[in-house]
Amino acid sequence: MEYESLLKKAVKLGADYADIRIADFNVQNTISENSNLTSVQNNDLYSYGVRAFIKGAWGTSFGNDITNLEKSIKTAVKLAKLSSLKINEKFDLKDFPVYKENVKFKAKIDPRDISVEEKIKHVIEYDKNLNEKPVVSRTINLAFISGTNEFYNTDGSDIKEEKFALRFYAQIAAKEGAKVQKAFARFGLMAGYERFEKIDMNKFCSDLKESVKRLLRAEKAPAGKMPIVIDPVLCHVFFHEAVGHACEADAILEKVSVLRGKLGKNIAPDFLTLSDDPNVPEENGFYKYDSEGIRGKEAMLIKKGVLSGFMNSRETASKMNSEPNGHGRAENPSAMPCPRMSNTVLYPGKYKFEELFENIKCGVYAKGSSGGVVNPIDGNFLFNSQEAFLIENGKLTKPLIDVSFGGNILDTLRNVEKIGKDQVPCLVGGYCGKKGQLVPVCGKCPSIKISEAIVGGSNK
Amino acid sequence: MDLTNKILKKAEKYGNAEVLLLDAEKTSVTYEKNEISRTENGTTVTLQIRLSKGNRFGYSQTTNPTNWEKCLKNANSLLKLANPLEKDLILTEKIKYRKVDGIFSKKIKAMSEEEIFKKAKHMFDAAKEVDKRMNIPMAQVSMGSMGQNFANTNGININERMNLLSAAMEASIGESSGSDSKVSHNDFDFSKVGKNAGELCFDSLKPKSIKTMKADLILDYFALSDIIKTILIPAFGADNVQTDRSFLKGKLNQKIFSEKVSVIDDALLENGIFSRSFDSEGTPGQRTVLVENGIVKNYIYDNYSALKDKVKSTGNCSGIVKVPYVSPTNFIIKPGDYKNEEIISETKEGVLAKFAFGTHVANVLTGDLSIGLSNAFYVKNGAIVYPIKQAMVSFNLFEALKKVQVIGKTLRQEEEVVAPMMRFDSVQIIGS
Repeated sequence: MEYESLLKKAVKLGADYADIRIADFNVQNTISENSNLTSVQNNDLYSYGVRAFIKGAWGTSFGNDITNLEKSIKTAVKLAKLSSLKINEKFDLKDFPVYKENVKFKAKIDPRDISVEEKIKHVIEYDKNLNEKPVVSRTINLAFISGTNEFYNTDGSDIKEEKFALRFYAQIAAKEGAKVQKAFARFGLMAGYERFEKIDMNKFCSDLKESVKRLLRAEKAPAGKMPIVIDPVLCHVFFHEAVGHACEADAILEKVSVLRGKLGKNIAPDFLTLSDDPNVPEENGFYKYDSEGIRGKEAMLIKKGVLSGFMNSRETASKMNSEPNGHGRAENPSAMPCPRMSNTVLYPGKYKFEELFENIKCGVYAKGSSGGVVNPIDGNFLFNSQEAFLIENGKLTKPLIDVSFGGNILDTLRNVEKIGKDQVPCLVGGYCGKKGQLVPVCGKCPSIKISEAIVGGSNK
Repeated sequence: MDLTNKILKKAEKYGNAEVLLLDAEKTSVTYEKNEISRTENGTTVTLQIRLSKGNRFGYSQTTNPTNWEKCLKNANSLLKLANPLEKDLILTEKIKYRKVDGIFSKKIKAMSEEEIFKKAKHMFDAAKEVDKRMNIPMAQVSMGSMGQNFANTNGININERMNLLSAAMEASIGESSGSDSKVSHNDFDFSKVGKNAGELCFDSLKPKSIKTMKADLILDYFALSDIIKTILIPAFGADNVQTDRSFLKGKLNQKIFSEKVSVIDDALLENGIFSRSFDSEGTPGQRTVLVENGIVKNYIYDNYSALKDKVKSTGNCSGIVKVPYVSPTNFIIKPGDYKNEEIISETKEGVLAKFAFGTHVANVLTGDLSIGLSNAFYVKNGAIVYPIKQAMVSFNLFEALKKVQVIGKTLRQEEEVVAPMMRFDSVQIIGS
């Protein structure tokens, strides 16, 4: 195989370790705007990247034209040498398992085998479905992604992994009198075309219409500390931001995680178990091998309230001498893999959904996510819901406009009071940004009650 | 024959066509955990094709230009599927382009890898000098060069190249952190970036909680530009206006903001980071007044959204991969009269925020936002008293811009937003 001989060359030039990554994906995207099919696009995304490691430092080289691969290998080794000469703390990569596998994606129909006409039909149908008062504008985006990642390294790993994904996004605006509001709905999953046909789009559209109607009559949330109940989607964003990022091994090594030095210590109630697992089928963070050719395994982050592990990459697993769990991910072959989340999994608790609201005098119930963010250094985080409701005396009373919640990781973890039984895959097709790279992530979580969080509303 | 001409020649049999060829080369040095972690070099190329026939359009893009024939065929097969527009989007007239000054530096082009290492070291050392406990989780210096070549079947074929030098640094001591970054078409003093990040981290040590209150909110460059980028800029996009997703719909020539607020989108700004002499559709770059003394004057357009409003494109198209695709160039907030020190010294009680976080979750349509502040400081009787532990703010950006009176005179640009410091009075601040 040609890659093998090129990698041998890298070693000959002085590399301790080197790998080649190639991504070849096709994205078909259809956009409809107010019943007008505005853009039908085809994107062929092909790129490669080479990394070389010498005594504690990396050199990388990347491009789109694979005929330059040999030149890139030379550049990567040269840059690794340059970097390595300038560092004080040298380290070696440890031995990692070697894999040889051609992974076929478990699906019946490759989206590329379905005609564009067929896909367009769906978009037009949803657009029509959403065209109903008080909705005044609609944008629908349906995308199908399919392709293969390849990975080769100097240890002899030789991996091909096929992937299919569906992405749907609908955004609407509604008007009632002088009031305007927007709402959106989305799903994203790793699956073949046959799965797409099973999604109940009628329900999807009617939920979205109901949501925007509620938002039109919604009031501002109160401001200050109060109990909150969040749905599984928001719960996965909460744990992603509040715990996940601080459990990425690079954050620990870079001394930018509030969870540093807390391994083996109790940081949450004993009924709380949290992991990150790339093996959740269909979820956006699903993969068999990470971007560094390591088998993706469930990483236990919090076991019965005790901080029990971190997500690692080749580099961080070497530095911390820990078991590799396959969380070294990169947006594309030109980017450097680093420890990342895949699917955030909160184990289900004992409470029925209704029981989460018991004894709440005044609080907020929030569902759906508009995103979140954390500063792992000081542990302050923030996340925002798509919809929220006021809880008064254990009952949902009024709809509230979308609201942000803030808190500090360590305080808020202790405040997780009840975990629901209703664990479900979120399938919202999320993306996580870190160090300038986006990777697909998602989660499988139940609803939870947090006894105290900061609600970013407004006091009259 | 160059690639774009080759593609156009072949495209003629399908209809009208335009081709955009983008390329970028980057070399960067990254520090992680107080050490050099890696040095990277690479190129990326993107080819975008838009075919048009009978006012229908097909879009195809590839990162592998050697496959341009397949890309062209794909565009042709998609062409018949889209709904036709009233008019062709591909430019027909002969255009005179104005060259933008100060976007290509020969000095940056000639920089060696060793020089980049040296700059990174200067920045690193400057942060370390602030306090010996200083930890550097991340520092990055990169040098890049970007080119765009636009050509269409009506005879336009234009090229432009720019290069950029950038620096970013994060510094931390315990739970305190600070960061700074700079992007420029010209060489600059890297040690200043390191010093700023280090000092901000040092000044943020031993933060205290504040109570929930209504007080003045002073937003420094990064905090304000973050808010502007995520909430104000989308409101000026004609695409959002036309689909009822902008607060500014139907507000042309109305006084919506304070008379102190003027906004310009200027593609021709000398040394501007987002300057360019033409956009992705070959429309020449221009200076577009968006707000003049509080009065809304214009939106930003690409050819598609301009056709809908029967106006001319403002040269704000960002790619020929879909319509509409509108984004700003250099989005400039006109400076005010205050020195930054004066803004602080004239504040009775308030919070000065260097950074905002969570702006991406704000409501773009209504302008409502509840976001977190980082590297924020409590200001009392005209002086910074102490750093703040954890705070959120909740307010409506459009209301705040209606009332704003205090605007700084010093502009800064590290991304598309060119902005001064600004103070919003009596804002809901949520302490912990």
